[in-house]
Amino acid sequence: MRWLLLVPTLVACGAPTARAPSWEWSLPPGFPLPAVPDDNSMSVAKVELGRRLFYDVRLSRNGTQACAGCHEQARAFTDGKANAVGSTQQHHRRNAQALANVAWASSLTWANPLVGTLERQALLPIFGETPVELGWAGHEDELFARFAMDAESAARFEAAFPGQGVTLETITGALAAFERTLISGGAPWDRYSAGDVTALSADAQAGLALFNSERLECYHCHAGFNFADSVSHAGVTIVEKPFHNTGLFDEDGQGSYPQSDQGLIEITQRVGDMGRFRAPSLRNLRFTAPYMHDGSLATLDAVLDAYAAGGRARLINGAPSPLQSDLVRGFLLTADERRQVLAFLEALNDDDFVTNPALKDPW
Amino acid sequence: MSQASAASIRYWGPMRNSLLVLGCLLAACGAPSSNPDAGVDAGAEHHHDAVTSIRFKAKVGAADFACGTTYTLGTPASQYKPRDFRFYVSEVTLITDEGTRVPFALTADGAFQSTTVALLDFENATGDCSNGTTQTHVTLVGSAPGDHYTGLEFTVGVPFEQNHQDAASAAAPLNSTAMFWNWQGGYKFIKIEGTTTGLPSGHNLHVGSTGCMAGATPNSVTSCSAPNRVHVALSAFDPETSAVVLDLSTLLAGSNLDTNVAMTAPGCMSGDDADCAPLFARLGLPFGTAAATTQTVFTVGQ
Repeated sequence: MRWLLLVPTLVACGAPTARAPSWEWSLPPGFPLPAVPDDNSMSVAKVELGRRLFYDVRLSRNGTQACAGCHEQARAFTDGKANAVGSTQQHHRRNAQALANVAWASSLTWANPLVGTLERQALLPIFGETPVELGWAGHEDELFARFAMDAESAARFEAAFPGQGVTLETITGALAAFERTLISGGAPWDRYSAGDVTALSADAQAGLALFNSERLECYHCHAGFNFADSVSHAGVTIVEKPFHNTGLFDEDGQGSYPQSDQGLIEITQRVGDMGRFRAPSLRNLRFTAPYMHDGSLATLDAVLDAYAAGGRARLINGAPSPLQSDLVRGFLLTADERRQVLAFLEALNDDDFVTNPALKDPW
Repeated sequence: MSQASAASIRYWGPMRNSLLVLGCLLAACGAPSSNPDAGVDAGAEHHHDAVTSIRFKAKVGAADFACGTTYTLGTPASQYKPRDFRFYVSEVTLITDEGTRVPFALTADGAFQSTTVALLDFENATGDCSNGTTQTHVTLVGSAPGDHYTGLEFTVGVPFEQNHQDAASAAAPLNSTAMFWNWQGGYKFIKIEGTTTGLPSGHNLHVGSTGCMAGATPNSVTSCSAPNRVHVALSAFDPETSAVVLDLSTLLAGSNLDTNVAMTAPGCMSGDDADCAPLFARLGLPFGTAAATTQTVFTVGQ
């Protein structure tokens, strides 16, 4: 249904000016068509403008940091830090998210069902005050002027959004369009699932079986083509936005997370939402350490230790958090099995993605 | 080149138009006496002009609030330097001596007021309020027919139907990015900030709806368990002579402005931060197990 609706949008957008060619997705096998908001259809000009903005330090008020400051291509659009640092050197309480396949995310950020599109998400780093990221709260006119007064930028805005100028809608629309092209589907696993059985080593294939086993239970939350369950696409009519408590913390025996970051409950205020976060994709983990919402686990071995123990809190307290997912039960892995699981996760790394020239800094 | 110039003109669009606002304010102030025929009720004993403005004042005790001033506030006393002071009001209603409720229709000005919501702005970008705007907005401009009004009611906050819209395309006054509260999917209804002796990086009061539930379509919200809209009902309010007074010293009286509950947002950003308890109590908002009460920070003054 949604796909049929998309077609007239593309036609309508491309027709009047004949300058904005309609967009043709180049999707890896098995990837569904992304859901794109009706009012921000894809175009080559938007994607190029978005790419330039994404890498432009002028997008921070003090001119020191671009989106790419915390989302580096070489690190699969993360920053290698436990906690991101904004343009004014304020530390974020959370780990910078990897952006591969973010076009299919049904909710954005680590734990927020209210942020459902990349356009809406872009407002958070641009205007957030706690912490300051790009630092524009209350200074939108200066932001618009900065790009409108620059002839080359203004021309690119005009090409991407004829007659609309530099506005919040065009800035966030362009960023979102570029982000929807951050597509990672060139890992060995992708070749394997497309029929090339030689693409996965014997260890990786054994690891895949463990990953999908009821013993490890990994696949429940890290499901499907993006190894994540908070996924949507153009064919989805009922969008699901799941969040999970993995037992990373239990400060009081009642399942409390540290007051500095309690996850979904901060948005919903529902008691049961304590410590619930969005399951991230497992693609490109080689590039995206450290792990978890707070960057508190430095290695994949440490992550496996936490899940093998039935949650890190259980490892520390000796008892599971009453709020953790019933699928985080703990398991025993032999050394061979651990090697196999890690070999499978290694097969989810996409070397082309982190070097793809189309996604590079254009400046 | 034409593309560039079109875009460079365009960016002026969302700017606050200070001349327009100033014009509106002057017109509003002069209106009651210059429009003697408006609102005459044929059967009325007394003549009442149409109401075209409702004045607000921000005070700190007896003094007028001003950025750049250091105030002694909170318990125990702290030195508080203002950094911001803005809030949204809506559902402005005058009450007649017979108890009839008469909406005060806001006049859209493209900057601080739409026909349903107004941003009252007491900071002027001086002193530590340097992140603010030089333009202020302290008087609601609009209209209500002449009558014998003795009361005023309004809501501090943005109506639910508008609170969760796409902020990127919202019209004034909901285009103020300083009031964006995107992580909670809405707007800050109240933004009052200052630096204090013990919190030199700032004490923030951000009141807005929390506990919001996502709807089926992306970015949509179906309801919020803590709407956090402040209901204000003032009696003995005469629109010709009275002003609504918000006293910052009353608002902050129960707060220790020099400390912050560990690992919570600096000050009160709604939610379940214990720093909010005394502030919400004074705003009449429920907090935790504390039930809603009557707000005490807005009073009638001159």
